[in-house]
Amino acid sequence: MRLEPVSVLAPRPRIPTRRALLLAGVAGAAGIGMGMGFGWWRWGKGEQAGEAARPMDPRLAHALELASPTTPIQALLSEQMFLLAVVHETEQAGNRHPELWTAVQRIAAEIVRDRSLPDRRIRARSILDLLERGRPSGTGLELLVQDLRRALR
Amino acid sequence: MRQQGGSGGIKGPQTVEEGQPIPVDIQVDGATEVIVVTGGNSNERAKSFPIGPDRKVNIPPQPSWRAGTLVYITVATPPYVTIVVEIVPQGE
Repeated sequence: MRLEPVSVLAPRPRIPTRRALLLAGVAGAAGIGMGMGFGWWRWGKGEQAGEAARPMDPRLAHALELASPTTPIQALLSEQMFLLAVVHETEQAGNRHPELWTAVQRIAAEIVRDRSLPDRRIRARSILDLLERGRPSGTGLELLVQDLRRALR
Repeated sequence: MRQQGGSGGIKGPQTVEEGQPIPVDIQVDGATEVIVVTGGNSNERAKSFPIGPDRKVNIPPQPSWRAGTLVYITVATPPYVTIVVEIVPQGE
């Protein structure tokens, strides 16, 4: 019997299963780690640095917009209670926003100035109530306390 | 006697006796909850309460509310209409 030489393709060398799984796991872990690192760099650091710049929620964002120095005093007065509620909430959380206090001072000054202001008593009462929580220096609110108390009568 | 106060979109009493709930009517379309903030130097955190299908919410008295406390109630959706309610002594 004559034997013919036959070319047989050698089987493709395969990575052992265990090694393949190990490499896949390492690659996956590296990918997850890179993703987490990127996420911390993109949002984690930004969250710490931008806590004052990026409002914590829509109500605070609206209050900060309202507190703009260019907001007309009538607009501030129309949303006085909303603004005060936000100041209370942020102060309770330990997050002071000086621009909100500046807006409060503007409202207080108007309450003192305009004796014909509707609901003047409760407006003055609510400002004084807020000052029980804290009196940031440099806002000028201290100077208005006595006049606000007179507005209660 | 309770007086009705409100600012277009939310109505509630101006005063409530100590220990009594605060009934509030909401007229803001799409509003689902109100945020309640206690004034003064209270450490009580802001709380949210759901608005019922009848557009009313009955805010239960909080333990820290005493006569003289101001309570701010804000609709949690724009335009964030807010009222303030003063807690008064019972029988007033």
